[in-house]
Amino acid sequence: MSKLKIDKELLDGVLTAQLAGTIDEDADFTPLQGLSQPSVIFDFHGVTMLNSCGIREWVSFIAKLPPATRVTYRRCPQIIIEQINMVHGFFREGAVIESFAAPYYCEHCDKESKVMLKTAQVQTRKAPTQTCPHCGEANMEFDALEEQYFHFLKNQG
Amino acid sequence: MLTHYDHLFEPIVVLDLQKKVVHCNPAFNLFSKQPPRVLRNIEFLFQLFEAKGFDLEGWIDQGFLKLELRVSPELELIHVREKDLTSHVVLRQFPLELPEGTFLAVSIHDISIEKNLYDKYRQQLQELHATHAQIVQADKLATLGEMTATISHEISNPLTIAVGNTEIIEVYLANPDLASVRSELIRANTDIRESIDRIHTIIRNMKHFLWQSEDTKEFCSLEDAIKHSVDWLKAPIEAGNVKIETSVLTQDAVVLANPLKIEQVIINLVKNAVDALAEKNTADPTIVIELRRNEGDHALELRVTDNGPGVPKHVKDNLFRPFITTKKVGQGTGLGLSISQKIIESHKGSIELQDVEKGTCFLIRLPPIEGYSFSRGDKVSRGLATKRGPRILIVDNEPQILNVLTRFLEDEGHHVIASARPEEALRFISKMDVDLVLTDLSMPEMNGRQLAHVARENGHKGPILYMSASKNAEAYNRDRDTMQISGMIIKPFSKDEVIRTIKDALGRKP
Repeated sequence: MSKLKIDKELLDGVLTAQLAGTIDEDADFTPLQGLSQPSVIFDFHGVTMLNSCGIREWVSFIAKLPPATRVTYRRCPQIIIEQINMVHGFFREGAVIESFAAPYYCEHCDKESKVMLKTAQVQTRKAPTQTCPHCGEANMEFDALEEQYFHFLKNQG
Repeated sequence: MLTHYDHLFEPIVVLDLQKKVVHCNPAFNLFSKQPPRVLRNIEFLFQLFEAKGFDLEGWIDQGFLKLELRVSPELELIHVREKDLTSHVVLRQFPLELPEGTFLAVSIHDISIEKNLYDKYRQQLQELHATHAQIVQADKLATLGEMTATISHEISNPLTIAVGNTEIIEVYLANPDLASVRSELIRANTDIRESIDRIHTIIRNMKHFLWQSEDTKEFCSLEDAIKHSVDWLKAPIEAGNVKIETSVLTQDAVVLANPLKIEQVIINLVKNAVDALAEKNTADPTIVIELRRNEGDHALELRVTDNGPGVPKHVKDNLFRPFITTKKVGQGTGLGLSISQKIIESHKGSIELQDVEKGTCFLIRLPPIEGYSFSRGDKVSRGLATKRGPRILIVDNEPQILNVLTRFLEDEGHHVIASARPEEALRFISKMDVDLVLTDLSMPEMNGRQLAHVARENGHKGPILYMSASKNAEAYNRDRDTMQISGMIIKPFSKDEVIRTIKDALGRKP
């Protein structure tokens, strides 16, 4: 049984699909098939796990969307960004990544944080400065390899 | 040099001679779920992983000693810094000779997804098997339900006789001179006992038919299965005045099968024939059951033919699909043939409707036991060990002996091939590598000595053991030197005797 929950919202001609749970071999994207909206936003915020079988399901689904559909990826967790960087076809050509989670670490309070960044905030693949949400320290350390993590930005115009 | 690994998909970590982590690639970051900040401070692998039931440290130590490509068994790695996270992996280690010194690289093949899918597949398969077993049982109950009228008639006849005789006994017992009616009392008592025996047989057959067997296969006689099935259907056969002709045209019709399931198939076919003959009031209703061996591929062929109305043309193509029936509503579930087909296919056989001028003819084909047991044994040994055990060919026309020996030998990790026919066994010896031949001496078509003789003439050099009662030990004494017969297992035998004799014979090949 699919452990992926998909909530759809159609507003002003834009379809927003909120994905939550696990994208694995049981992931069922049929609730989204046949919807021919000119613009679709996939909100990945609730996705907690995905595996290679789920990626295969996703790639197969995304490839079948009409070519003219404008696709936006919103609030991508770290696991989604890692797959976008690694798997050809996970990211649909011409799509836009609107926002994504970035890992940060505060040396001051020794805590890790996932900060939601807008793509436009990242310039020349350098992580923007962030303030620690726990202790207020102004300069958290980016907690991944910038070159690797922001690799996906080369597809973002 | 080490940065070359950064472009690979497979996680790789490089250790120095002190087993300290000197490099890990980005794929390793992803696999370990640790940011580079943490990995920079990791000195040893055990700070990240524990291998359940495996000495990872020792395996790495060995790697530095051997300095060669080595692959670990499948491991469950516990990520010590991540709560509740485990991965199923296979590790590979290989030495790196660099200007800075000797290093050991460990690459990680993550098979967690395959493992999870496999477990899920196994579970679903078990559920399917359970459902199938329930359907098979439901079909049996339906068959029994359809036969209730004839069975109750069968029971009520002897019951009437028994009740009548008890009344007769009561009358005789009222006679003060019991000695004068002694013979009448004995006769009445005998009639009662025979009637009760008849009822007991009917009930025993019903229980046998309804018994839910495990899905295990054994060597069994197809001729016995036919006999049991016809016995079980005695009531409806007699009620319909149907003549049953059984023709067995082959000796040693032994199959590797679940006997109760094979009987269920034969019962289905014969009962369908009885019903069809009764429905159309066929004159001189007859069912012919014929058992023969195919000359070409040596498969056993069982034909059930009746002289009834035949299968309507429009049903023929879908006959084996579930819920297809030519019977009236309430008289058949339409599952019998579908289940029969599944049963026969699970025995690597086939069932088909044959074209005949009049009536209906079903043909069941079951594979010869030699090839079937060979492929089954191959699977058993592949599943349990990386190295196959000795391949033992057992030749005996008694299915029970084949079963006992197969159990003994498979328990010991041997790969058993069974044969009930010496000619087929010889064909097998000439085509396949056999480590040891164990043959019965007394068999109808060709005895064990003849088999050994031909095998030696054909150039078979492996050990041959005889198996027989002690009175036949003379044969072994005669052939021991002339045909290099390694030994003899004397019937009756124990498991220890069999295993020891075979081990010793394999230990000193001729």
